[in-house]
Amino acid sequence: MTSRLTSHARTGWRVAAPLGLAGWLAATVLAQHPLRAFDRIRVVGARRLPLPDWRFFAPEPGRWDDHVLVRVIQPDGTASEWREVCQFQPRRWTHAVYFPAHRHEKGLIDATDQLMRRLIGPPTEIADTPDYQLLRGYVEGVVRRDHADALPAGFQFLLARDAGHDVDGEMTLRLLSRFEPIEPIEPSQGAADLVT
Amino acid sequence: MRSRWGGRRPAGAGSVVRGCRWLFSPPRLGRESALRWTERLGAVTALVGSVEYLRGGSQLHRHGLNDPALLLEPRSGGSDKLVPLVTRRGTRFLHLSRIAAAVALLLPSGRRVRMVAGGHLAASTRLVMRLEARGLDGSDEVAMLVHTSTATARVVDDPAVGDAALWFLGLQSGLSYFASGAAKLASPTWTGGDALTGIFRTQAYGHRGLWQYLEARPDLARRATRAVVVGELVLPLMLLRRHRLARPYVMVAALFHAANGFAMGLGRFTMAFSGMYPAVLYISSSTADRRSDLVPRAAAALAVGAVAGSVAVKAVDHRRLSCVEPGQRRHVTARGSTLTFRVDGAAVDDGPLVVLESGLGGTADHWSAVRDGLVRRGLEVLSYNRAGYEPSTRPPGARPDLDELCVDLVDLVDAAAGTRQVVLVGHSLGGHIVVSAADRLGSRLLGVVTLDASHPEQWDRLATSMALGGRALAITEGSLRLGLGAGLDMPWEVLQADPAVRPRLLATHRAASTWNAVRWEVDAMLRAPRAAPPPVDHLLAMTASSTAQVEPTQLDADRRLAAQGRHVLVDRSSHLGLLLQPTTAATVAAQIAAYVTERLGDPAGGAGPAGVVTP
Repeated sequence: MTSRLTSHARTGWRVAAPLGLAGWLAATVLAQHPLRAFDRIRVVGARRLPLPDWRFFAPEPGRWDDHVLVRVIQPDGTASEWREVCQFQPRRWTHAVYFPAHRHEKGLIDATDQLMRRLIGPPTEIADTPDYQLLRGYVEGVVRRDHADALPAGFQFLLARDAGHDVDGEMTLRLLSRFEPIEPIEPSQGAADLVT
Repeated sequence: MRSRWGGRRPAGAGSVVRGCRWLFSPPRLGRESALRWTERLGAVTALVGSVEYLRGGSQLHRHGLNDPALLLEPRSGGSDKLVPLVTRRGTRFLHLSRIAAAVALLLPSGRRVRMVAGGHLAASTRLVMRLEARGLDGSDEVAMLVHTSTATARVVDDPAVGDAALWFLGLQSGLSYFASGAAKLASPTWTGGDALTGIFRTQAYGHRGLWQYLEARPDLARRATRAVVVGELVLPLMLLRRHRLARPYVMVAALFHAANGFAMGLGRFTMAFSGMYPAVLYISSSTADRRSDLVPRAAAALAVGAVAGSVAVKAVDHRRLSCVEPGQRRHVTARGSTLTFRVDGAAVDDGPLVVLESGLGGTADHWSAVRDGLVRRGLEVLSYNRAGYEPSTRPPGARPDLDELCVDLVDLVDAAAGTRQVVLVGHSLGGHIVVSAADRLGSRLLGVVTLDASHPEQWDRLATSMALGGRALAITEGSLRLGLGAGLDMPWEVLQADPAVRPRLLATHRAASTWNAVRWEVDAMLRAPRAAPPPVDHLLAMTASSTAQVEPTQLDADRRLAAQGRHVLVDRSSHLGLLLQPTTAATVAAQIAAYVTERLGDPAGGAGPAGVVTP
């Protein structure tokens, strides 16, 4: 009985696997239209299909850098200077082989991009969205790390875009957050959960 | 026999000749060797990737960019139940197990071990892509393909399944370059030669030295940029002669990725994409193994079938739009446009006719919810499709000119309303059209309402965006003519519209004629003078809240437009949502109806209260 089931399963796999791969390949082809407006095939219901996107830096390549800046606000209302939460690493030859920091940099690019796309989606209170809360939480982690000895009353963050290495290029403000208060940490929450 | 060098060849010439012969000869790579090399290269990618995550690359923690408490909440498509499972220790174990699986694939091992290790890498790659959603790139997608297909090949010891996996990867390799090159053709930034300088200018993916070098040599930068596009398109064509060109293909592709690795920090791409090269060599090999070619044939058949289905959808859409709806009428204007329109409701005591003018890409169907609200309040409403929006037609050879649209509108109003009073309501571009047409109606004009009206002072920015996006409009129209409309994304407002009218809205959005009309009208806007039309007294201007948020100039412009009238901000609304979101459309209809009553009661009266209304 078991060997018959195994035999049927093997036969089924011999048929299903090539057809499944063929279908996956066909769907990948159909999902590569030059314009992302024709990406309907990528989403079924609420799920994104695992279809690779081969349209790297296309159609429009990224030609600007997105930055997240933060300033802390003390209980007396004084605000610090704006400073960047994460600076891009200068290019090194080792990045061709090993570049863990790039995940962090790319993650920040993705987070800012997703938050900005919320603005053109269904009307919603931006500060209540998971995208805003994620970025807010990330910036809070940076503030807590940098001001561990004396926590400020809160902080504000902004998203800016500039021309990268071209320091004479324009910088534009894309989004300014509301004032975000910081609560003191409860000992039970544990420092181990904080970003290090 | 004397050689061409008179009997003695230069030193090394023989090696060069042998090297070229080797380069252009068919590869000899058997199935099992191809699978093992694919697994090994994929294993290296997974190993380095997991080490990177363990050494600070992970953001899967509280205050991280992939904070599980936020990433996995229901609003993000996850489940609260999964959050407690994602711990630092668990994440560490996941990556250590991936490293162990990678080592198993690098060492000599049997099919079952390779199946389990490959399957684990495939499943865990998928999991990592879900959890570390921010920070992913193309190398992760390649890794998923490599691990999944090789694990699939190991489930049963069957040559046909192995061939399927290798065909899949080999063709994905070619597709990756071709799709990347084809997408770049849609962008003037790439075809115009500006892309590489711009990319290298960034700190994220750029290189200061290369940027400065290219910035100082614009001709070289343009040629290099165009060479990237041409190279990506031509490289996969080499697979059409793959028996001779497979090795050059692999070498050129590997060098391309290596260059990107050094210049852009994309070393992961080099490792990941190299995982597909053994498959390319196998499908190009002259090998003794009998090879199953089912996957390319089946994939081609499935793709053709899907396109045929999309063409069928196009035929259904065309029939839906071209059939005459109940109550629909036709009017031929003096300039030769044939306009289809409908009149709903019946005016009480010879009340005014409310005329609805659509925005760019809009039709009478877009007004369905607003129209129903007005009819319920005892108003008679005319809505129509502008020339070019199926089934309305434009006279052949009509030059793009916004004034012609005003002329058509007045012509229609004359025919439908006669001497009755008229209230013009315009959305987006329709707002500009009704304001421009207002002074041509004389004393018949009772009032004007605009919803997120388009303003001439915004059209300079339109010109800038069309420098990049104009080609996209043409490609959209062309794609729809080819029958690819089933793949077109729909605005979320259309998906939330009244189900009774949604099929026609979808058909309109997928119609090539709609995009042709859009291109004509965009052209007309770009040619139009930037001066604002004469002000209209007692005008009601409404602005959607998200438009005001994203486009602050819209709010200022609408307030200026309503200087002699009234301005209202419609809260929790979007540009298209003013018409299509049921609750917002009901609010809009109520505001218009109240405005009409106000105008009828006191035609010379002052402005009513401005403010914010919430649907």
